[in-house]
Amino acid sequence: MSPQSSTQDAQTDIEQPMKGLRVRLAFAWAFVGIPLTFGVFETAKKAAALFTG
Amino acid sequence: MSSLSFLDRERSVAGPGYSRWLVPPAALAIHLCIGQVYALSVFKTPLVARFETSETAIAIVFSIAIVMLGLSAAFGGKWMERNGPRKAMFVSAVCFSSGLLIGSLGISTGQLWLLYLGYGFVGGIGLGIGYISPVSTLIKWFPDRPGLATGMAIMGFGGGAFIASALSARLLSGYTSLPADQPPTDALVPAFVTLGLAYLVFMMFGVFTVRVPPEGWKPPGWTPKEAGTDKMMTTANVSADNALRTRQFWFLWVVLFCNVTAGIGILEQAAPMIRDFFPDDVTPATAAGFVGLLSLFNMAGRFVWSSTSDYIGRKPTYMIYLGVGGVLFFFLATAGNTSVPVFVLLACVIISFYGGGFATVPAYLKDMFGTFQVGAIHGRLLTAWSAAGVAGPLIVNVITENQRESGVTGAAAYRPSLLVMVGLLGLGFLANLLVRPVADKHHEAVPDAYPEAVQPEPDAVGAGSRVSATPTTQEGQR
Repeated sequence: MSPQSSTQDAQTDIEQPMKGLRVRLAFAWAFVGIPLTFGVFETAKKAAALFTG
Repeated sequence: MSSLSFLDRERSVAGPGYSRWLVPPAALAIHLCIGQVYALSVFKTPLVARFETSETAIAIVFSIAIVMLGLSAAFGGKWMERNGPRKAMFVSAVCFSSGLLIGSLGISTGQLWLLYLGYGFVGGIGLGIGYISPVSTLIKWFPDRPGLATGMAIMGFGGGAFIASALSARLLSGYTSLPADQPPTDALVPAFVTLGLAYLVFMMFGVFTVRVPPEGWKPPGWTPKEAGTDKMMTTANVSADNALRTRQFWFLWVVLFCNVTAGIGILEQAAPMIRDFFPDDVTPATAAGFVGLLSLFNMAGRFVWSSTSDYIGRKPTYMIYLGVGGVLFFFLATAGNTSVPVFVLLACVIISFYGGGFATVPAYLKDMFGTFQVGAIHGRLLTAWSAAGVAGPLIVNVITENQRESGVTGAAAYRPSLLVMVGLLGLGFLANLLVRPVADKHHEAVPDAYPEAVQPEPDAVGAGSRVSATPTTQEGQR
């Protein structure tokens, strides 16, 4: 194994968990963020009646 | 039970590859669900029709749930601190979900007492344990920004009501086969079962996601303040039992009580109040819009003000809530009826302070009593919320009704009760001014969270720094 490919392998080892963590973070925030956005949007629609009569 | 041992605190310590930014979604997964309690009114009309009873009898369900919230938060806090957030979140999920399912059984069989027992008693325990479960964990993961962290979670409690309100209305209209002019009584059982199961799944996401930081962990690049550099931010620890013996706890109890009482006083009466202030300009639809807008400011205030407190300090933040809040209440009482925009603006800022008061208090407690049992201390402080829940509506309703009986109408009928709130906020302001650092005699002989002897190592995945040695008790910590 050349020194270059060994460095690449080490880099991939670090990047894989980082990528996994990013995916996990994105999923976690979407899991709670989507329902919250839905609730806020529905409430904002009701609140709009204050300005539209 | 060994199959449930994964819930134990020692099994939920974060390992390599975990990010502290996974903890707020875990906390939100709990708070977004238990916030449903504030949307229970969606079921009021069909429940009254199903049980052929009064609105008061149905309102008791909510009251039992809120009382149980306060009691379980107050008495379950130390258990939660011992067993960790994962087990507490699990208990909360099981209780809250079971509460809805037992309630559906009560609705199905026509037994109102089962609804009281299920949603009120069992579900209420889930509310209290769930409310406090992520607080101390968030504070330990975010010692650099505790206000931001707890603000995010407690904002979820407000957001949960939005979700539940919209979702419940859709479930009722989707499941019913009755004409639109009749209460959808046939949709109650499937709606309760659906919510119970959906909330169980959602809350379990929080259970499986939450982790406690390894002992001595601290965020990369963050250095804890040295003891004595900021007197309003302790580096020592006070137990939940000892906290009750301090003046600081009771001053903060008064602070929270006054802030919540004033806010609830407006929230409770928001729709009729704006219609009485502007009988010619405001319709029922616009009044409902006003209530919605207040809810949005209540939620936003929890995040915005609590995060701001990380920069300006907890005591100055409460001086704003109570001092500026008192001035705004005074303007609302004396000049609120000059125009609708003025009234709406004043009320929205006041309600944002109300929400901010809830969200900032865990960080204030951490500053005063340390992180050792901050969740349990927070649980005990929430009795101020229960007391304010009775006092706020009572003050506004009794005074306003007396005014009306004396022939006073419109905005003038609300003026005395609003001025009482000004006095109450003044009392809270004074209590906040009197908050001083806790005396050394109340400090615990537990290790400092960040002993100087322990050097952090960089974490491979950016989750923060982890210690390389077991923390030892620092000299001076008693």
